[in-house]
Amino acid sequence: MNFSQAWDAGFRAVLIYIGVVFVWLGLIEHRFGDQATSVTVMNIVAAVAAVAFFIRAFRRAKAERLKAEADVRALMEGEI
Amino acid sequence: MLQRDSSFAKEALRYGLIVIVLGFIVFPIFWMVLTSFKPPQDVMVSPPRFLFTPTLDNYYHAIVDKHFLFYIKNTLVISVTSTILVIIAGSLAAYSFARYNVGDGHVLFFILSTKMFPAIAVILPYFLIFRNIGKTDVGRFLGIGLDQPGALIISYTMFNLPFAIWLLVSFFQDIPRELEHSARLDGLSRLKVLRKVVFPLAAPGIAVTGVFTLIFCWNEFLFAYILTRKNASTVTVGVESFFTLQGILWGPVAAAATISVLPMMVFVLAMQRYMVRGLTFGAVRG
Repeated sequence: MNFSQAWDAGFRAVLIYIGVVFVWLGLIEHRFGDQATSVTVMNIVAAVAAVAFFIRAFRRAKAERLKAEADVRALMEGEI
Repeated sequence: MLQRDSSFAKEALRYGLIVIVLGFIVFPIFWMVLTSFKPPQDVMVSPPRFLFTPTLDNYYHAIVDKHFLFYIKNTLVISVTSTILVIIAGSLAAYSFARYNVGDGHVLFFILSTKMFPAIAVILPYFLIFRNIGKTDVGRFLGIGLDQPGALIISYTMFNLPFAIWLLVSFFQDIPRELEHSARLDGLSRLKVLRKVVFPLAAPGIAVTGVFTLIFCWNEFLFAYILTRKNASTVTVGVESFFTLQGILWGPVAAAATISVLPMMVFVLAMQRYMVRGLTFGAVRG
């Protein structure tokens, strides 16, 4: 994963975090009796979602790079 | 080994600098989003608080009390209409400049000269023109008086057209003339060549021009502030409405700003692939 891919994935992960916060505060928080617990759980869920997205993006970028390298290798071998 | 260490240090320095620059760009957005979730007592405290109990009260105030979605709707109608007009007029004009060299370059330069003065310089004539047009039957029918969407649509179209033409000219110049000649020999009329050959090839360039125009329209403040009062106000004017005589409502300001940024951010992220392709489209010339 290069720098620009990491930045892009990180930015989207932050957006996912914010999205989870929006949804949680709007739809889920009132189901919790204690606000402090709700905020803690919300942050954990948002962080897990954001990190999961970033890991997925990392794995996808790595797989794409390996595939591209394999394609180039096959092409080179074909030419030889 | 020493060479490898030096190379690694250079890379680390390079990326470190990039991260610092990007941090400067992103931090205000991060702070705006953070403030939008803060309760009033945590907004202006010193030192600033990063840990607080988040709330949607600011969003509730902006959307329900101040009807901020009305401004979003206005901005959407005005920006999209203006962008469509700019793309239609701009692409035709740019094609004629690229292919027929209309005005030997002088007209193209004259078009650009309209971008050389600040918007504030023409705001008074625009104000008077739209005020007088708005009093006529035609103006009322077309909705191009003061505090009507038509006034902003025309203003934005006029102000973004030079930029769009200049951007599109380079895209059209990069399309080989031979393709058009071949299509003409196959019996297509000039307009059909334009529609079936030239425009599809210039689509990335047209897309990137459309995105930039839409962003400019969405973020414009001065024209919207002077030419509208209530009915046709846009998001930028809507955010300004939280600056009250009693003080600035920073929480709702941040919430309104976040709401106004989100559609553009999602749109640009969705168009990111086309934008990169469009921006590199004219980069290499044979």
